[in-house]
Amino acid sequence: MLEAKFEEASFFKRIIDGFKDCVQLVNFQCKDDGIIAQAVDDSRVLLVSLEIGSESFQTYRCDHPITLGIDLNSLSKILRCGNNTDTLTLIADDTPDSVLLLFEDTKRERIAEYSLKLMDIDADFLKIEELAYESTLMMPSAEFAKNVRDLSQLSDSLTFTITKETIKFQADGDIGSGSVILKPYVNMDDPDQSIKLEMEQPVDLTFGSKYLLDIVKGSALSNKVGIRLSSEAPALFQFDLSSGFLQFFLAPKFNDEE
Amino acid sequence: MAIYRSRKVGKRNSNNETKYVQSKLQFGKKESKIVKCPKCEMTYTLGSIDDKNAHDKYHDLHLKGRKWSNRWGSLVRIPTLSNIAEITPPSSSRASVLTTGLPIGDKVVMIQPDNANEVKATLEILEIVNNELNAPHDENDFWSLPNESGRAFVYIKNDRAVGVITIETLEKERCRWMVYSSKSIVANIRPNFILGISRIWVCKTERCHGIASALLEAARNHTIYGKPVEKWEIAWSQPTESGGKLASKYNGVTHKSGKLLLPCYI
Repeated sequence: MLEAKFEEASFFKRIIDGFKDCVQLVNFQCKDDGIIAQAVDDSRVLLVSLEIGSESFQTYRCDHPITLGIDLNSLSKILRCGNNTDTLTLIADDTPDSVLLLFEDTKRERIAEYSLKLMDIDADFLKIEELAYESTLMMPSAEFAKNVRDLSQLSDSLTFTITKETIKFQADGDIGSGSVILKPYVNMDDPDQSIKLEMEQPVDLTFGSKYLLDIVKGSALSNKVGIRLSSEAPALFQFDLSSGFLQFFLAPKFNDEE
Repeated sequence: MAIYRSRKVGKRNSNNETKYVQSKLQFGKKESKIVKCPKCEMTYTLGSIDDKNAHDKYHDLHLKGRKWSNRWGSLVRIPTLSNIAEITPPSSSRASVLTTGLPIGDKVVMIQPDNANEVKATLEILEIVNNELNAPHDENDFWSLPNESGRAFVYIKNDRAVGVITIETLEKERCRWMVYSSKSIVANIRPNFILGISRIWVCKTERCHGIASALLEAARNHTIYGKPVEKWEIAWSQPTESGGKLASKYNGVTHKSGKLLLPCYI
């Protein structure tokens, strides 16, 4: 039996909105310590990995590990039906063929109940080994999202160049080019606005704009985004939850001439 | 988890802007996925579609030869192998066919330098040949350009080019004898050979079926128009192990010292 109650339905909605545009069919694995999910986009360029720890819930109970195969399009339709301030409870039995979504308005005692049919999704759960990264960057997620949205108007490829003291985002396109240069910066009053950079080796990597645009949708989840880059490995973009995270692993683009 | 870069195939952007190729995520153990094909010896990654396609192409090309259009090349008759295939009785067994002529459906064609398609196809075959023999890649002008005296002949079997010979005419200064056992050149003696075999090659699956002999006969009879050259007037260039065997059988000469000499050129 699974019974997972979010204090606010909008929290789960933001999580799903954070990655529903890049993957569609996702297996949610519910275990006693929380819910995890993983999916690779059809082009095998982007991997999404979600972990919602049990502390993110108001109450959480999962007696047996169960897998919920969910079509995110259908799920987000149902999530739109609830009000943001409603509590949301996910309920499923031990061998579920559907999951129950219960929206409760505690003040008005309004209860809305939806049942979502589950799917058999054939996907292996991948063990993601801890990678060593050459550069780690932590910055405000809104700022990162703005840079990506601004520059991706110019080109379908964005280049991230990290040197000792600077972070440069750059786009070269048909209509022109643009770049944004950032430096590490500490904001004592509002630590979330700080930009932290740890660099072991300079990195120069290019990514597809359309994937980055999908990734920055996760900005709604967290004020900060962690970006880890290595020249020969997938980049990691991470949005932390109060307990858990939403991670995107993105394969870079390489210069054709190399 | 790692990333996988696909190899670039196809046309290249002509303008100056940098073109990026999207890599893909790769899961699972990397080292176990790289395999070496035991037959064609190409190393490739299992599970990668690009690699598999590249390997299939390479494998076929190296083991079965290149696909060949029946419009390419001018058919040559090989008088010494009785006649060409068409007149061989269909009932003949393979062994007897080989002594009298080519097996049914097989043919030897001469490359016409003015037909760009067949020259290009032959150059592709020679690319494989030169890779396999570790030979220079720039020795094709003598047969591929018009008005040159060299020739290339290709052996066609089941619409695939399975063997090739390129042959050039020689000046006396280039001719030498080579001692077969020691692979050393005999100094001070300048024999006179007329033709030099620049390359001769048969694809791996078709070896030891008389294809090289048929090619040699074709070259002997058709390189110089109207004038068949005697076997002993053909020289070899740096024969490989199997090339040396073919040469010793084809036109090696036993010297009075008991050593086998091969006609050679440098």
